Amino acid sequence: MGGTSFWSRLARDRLATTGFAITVLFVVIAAIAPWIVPYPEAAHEIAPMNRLRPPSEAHWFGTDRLGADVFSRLLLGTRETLFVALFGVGAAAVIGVPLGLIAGWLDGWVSDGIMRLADIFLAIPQIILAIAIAQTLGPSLVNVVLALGFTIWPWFTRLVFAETRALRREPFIEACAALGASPWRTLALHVLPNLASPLVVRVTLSMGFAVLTAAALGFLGLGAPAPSPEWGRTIAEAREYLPDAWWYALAPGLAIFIVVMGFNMLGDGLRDVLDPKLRRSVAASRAQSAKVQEA
Amino acid sequence: MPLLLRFGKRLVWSIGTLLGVVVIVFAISNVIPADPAALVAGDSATAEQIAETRARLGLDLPLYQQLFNYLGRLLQGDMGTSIFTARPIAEDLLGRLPATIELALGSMLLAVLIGIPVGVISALKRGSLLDHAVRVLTVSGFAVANFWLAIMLQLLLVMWLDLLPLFGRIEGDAPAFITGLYTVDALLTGNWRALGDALWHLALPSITLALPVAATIVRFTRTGVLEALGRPFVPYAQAMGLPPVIIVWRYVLRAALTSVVTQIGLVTGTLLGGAVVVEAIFDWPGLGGYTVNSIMMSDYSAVMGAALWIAAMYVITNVIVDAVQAMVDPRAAAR
Amino acid sequence: MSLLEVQRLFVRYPTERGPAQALDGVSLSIGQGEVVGLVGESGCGKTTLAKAVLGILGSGEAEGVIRFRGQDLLGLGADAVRREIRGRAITFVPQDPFGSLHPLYRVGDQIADLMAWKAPDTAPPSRLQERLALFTRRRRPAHRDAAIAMLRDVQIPNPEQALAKLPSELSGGQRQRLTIAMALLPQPELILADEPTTALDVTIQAQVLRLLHNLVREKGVSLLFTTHDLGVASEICDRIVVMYAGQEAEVAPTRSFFAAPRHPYTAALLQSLPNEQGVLRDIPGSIPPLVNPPGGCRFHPRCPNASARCAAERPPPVEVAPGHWLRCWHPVAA
Repeated sequence: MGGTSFWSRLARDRLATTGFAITVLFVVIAAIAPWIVPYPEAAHEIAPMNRLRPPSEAHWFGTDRLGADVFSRLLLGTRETLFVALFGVGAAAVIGVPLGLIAGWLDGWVSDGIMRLADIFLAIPQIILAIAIAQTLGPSLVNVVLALGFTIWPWFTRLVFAETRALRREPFIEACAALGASPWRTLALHVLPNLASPLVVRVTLSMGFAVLTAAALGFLGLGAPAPSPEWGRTIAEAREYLPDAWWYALAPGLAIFIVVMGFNMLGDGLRDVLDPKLRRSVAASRAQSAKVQEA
Repeated sequence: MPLLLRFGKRLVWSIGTLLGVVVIVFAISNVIPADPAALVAGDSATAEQIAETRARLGLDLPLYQQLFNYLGRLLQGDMGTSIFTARPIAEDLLGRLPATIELALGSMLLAVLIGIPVGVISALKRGSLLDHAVRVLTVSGFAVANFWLAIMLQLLLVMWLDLLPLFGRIEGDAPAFITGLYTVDALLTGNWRALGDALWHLALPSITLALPVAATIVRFTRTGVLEALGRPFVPYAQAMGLPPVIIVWRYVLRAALTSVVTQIGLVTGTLLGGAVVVEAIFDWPGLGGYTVNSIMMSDYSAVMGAALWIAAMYVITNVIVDAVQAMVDPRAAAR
Repeated sequence: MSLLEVQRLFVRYPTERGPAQALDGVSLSIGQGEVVGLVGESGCGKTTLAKAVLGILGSGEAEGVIRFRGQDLLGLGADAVRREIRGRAITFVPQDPFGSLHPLYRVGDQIADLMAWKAPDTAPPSRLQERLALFTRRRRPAHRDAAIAMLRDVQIPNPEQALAKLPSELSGGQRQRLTIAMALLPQPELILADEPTTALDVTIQAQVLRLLHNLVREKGVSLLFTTHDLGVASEICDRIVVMYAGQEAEVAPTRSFFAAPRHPYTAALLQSLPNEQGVLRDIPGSIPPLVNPPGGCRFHPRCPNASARCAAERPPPVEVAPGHWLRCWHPVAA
């Protein structure tokens, strides 16, 4: 994957470019939100005089039940959303990738056991699993991260398992074993780098799922407690003021939609761009599992 | 009888999976919290009260023994008592099961009825404006938060346009109980008022839930049809002069359906998960609404019980889908 | 009068690099009960010619005359050809018996589908009938009996059981026999067979070929048989048509064709057959591109006899012996 050809191919894909632009935009917003929002105090200040004002020049998305600027809180909420999604997917990768490597490298009961466990986790509808975990751990941002990690990991395990199984029979991997390299060394230095492309695609596509799940948990009151500007929680609050304060519920939902679209488009585009490489290295089951995850 | 054998294998596999799900749910509810006894006994409990609660709940026993006790109680249908309703959780769940089944079936039916024709037409008109529009809508379908969509639909169709009811399953009396699915019962008893009313209430929650499922079905139907159109049985059927209607809607669609059916099984998970939030928003008296109520009340056993039931529904659905798959693809039965 | 008469037929496909001239004024006729072999390298237009006769060119545009039983098929309209001619009076045996049958429908159901529309004793269905039939599959006992008899004719063992099988449960030879049975069931007057044995093992090829030949003779059906294998053509054909770059190069009765080939291309083809020493001689050069083909005689860049005239002028068909037609300025000596 030469740097220039990768970037130029990505740039030619309109979908991927849009997705990339959206993702970068939100990352930048998350990084500098406290310094750019029109009303930095919106995260905590209460202005009862200013409650539930409709959109205006001063407040683009109106104000909320406490009189805070909805737009400012939206931008501040970007941080929590991206934090949770990134670390949630990261946690899933930290659990799922090593398990997949082990299951793919070994035969026998360890491998079977790991894959069986992944199957069982996948037999529980993911949001239900996330709810059960988040509920038990108590409402906090970190617990949402853990809930996401424990929910998403089987996808990584399945992906890495299939790839490792396919790679294991490649001559250059077999040569490593023949030269006496330890399995750990082979997995870390030779197998894992070959999984970079599919993993990047999987991470990107999982980010969208993580944002949606985290928002649902927030909506159910299982995310960060008030006065967090988290989007899902904001929609739950706003629901009580419908239909009059429609802007209050509309804005965060649109933000979720745009972010998730961004990740999904980027992920789909990346997959298309990286596809030739993927196809070479990959078992047929990978395509299947990728399709499944999108669902 | 390879079909029966396959079904039997699948059943054993599913029971194993369910057992695994029970263990996971047990682990989540009994291992992760620092001290469940303290949670159950309440904030103001003294140390003695907590210890007493611990002994009463069997939490002082070794973990594996707790698991066996839990499994034993489950097998007797005992999932504990709900703090919220003060009734046995299993009874609560059983009473709410038909509502969830009705909603899930309704959404699935809607998604299939919309998704398959749209997917086929989109594939036939590949590259057209319609195809592009469908693809944009499909991608959007995956990106919308269902709880937000539910609220926006309520805002638009109920609060502003006043077209559909905001909450609930039915107004007035429910039809006589046969299956517990109001629409089916109304149909069976010829109670047309109830049928209309039940459908009227079913519309909005099913549309919300059907959207991502329909998007998945459109996507896989489109891909499947495009793939099938490129296979040699199509030109052969053309060369023999079979009607295009038959070639597309029978030969091509049948070949495309195998992968779509698999997807339908998998998106049932999305559907049932979505039902949790959507039921709560539409005050739909099913398992999902119960789950959310229990979350609000911090009713652990009830949340775990509901999670277990929903997981069981998902596993059972996949057994059914597998059987359907064997019918759609007779080669699978032989494998 | 011939059964099928193709006159100066042009077919053009749009491609990204411009229109591809797949058929370039080809003429051909097939008599009642005649077996004609259509021979040429892949890409010479044999398959396109078969598709044009069947009226399934897709994006291709046809110009010229295709007369069947005196009726102009190009003028009849695609839909009428499909309902009244294709699958009824003209049927088809595909090249690939593995993919051509639907993998998920049982053999009996696929035959039932065919017979529902193409049974010999029925009138062509209306469009409405076709649409309504989507939800049912008509199975008539008489059709089933005819199918069983036909499967017996093509020597498929246990025909009743075969009807209940999936195509994947049959061997390659059996599947090809099945497509032959399906081509014969509507009692056609003409069968187009597109290299019908290339997908099979060599030993089975000969069996299936002989079977097709015998059945066609027995039932008095005409056969247009496409192949790139001259050995196969010599065995079963009455007449052979050699195609090159979308035109017929040489048309001759089988005997005089092999005894005295006149076109340099035909001569080269015959020489490229494995001889006694088992050596296969290549024809130098490759088949011309369909987009912007060479001017004059299409074969001149590869022809040992080519002159300046060949590059400039297209040779017209000339009858050099009774029934032996040729398009060449410098034919090989007889």
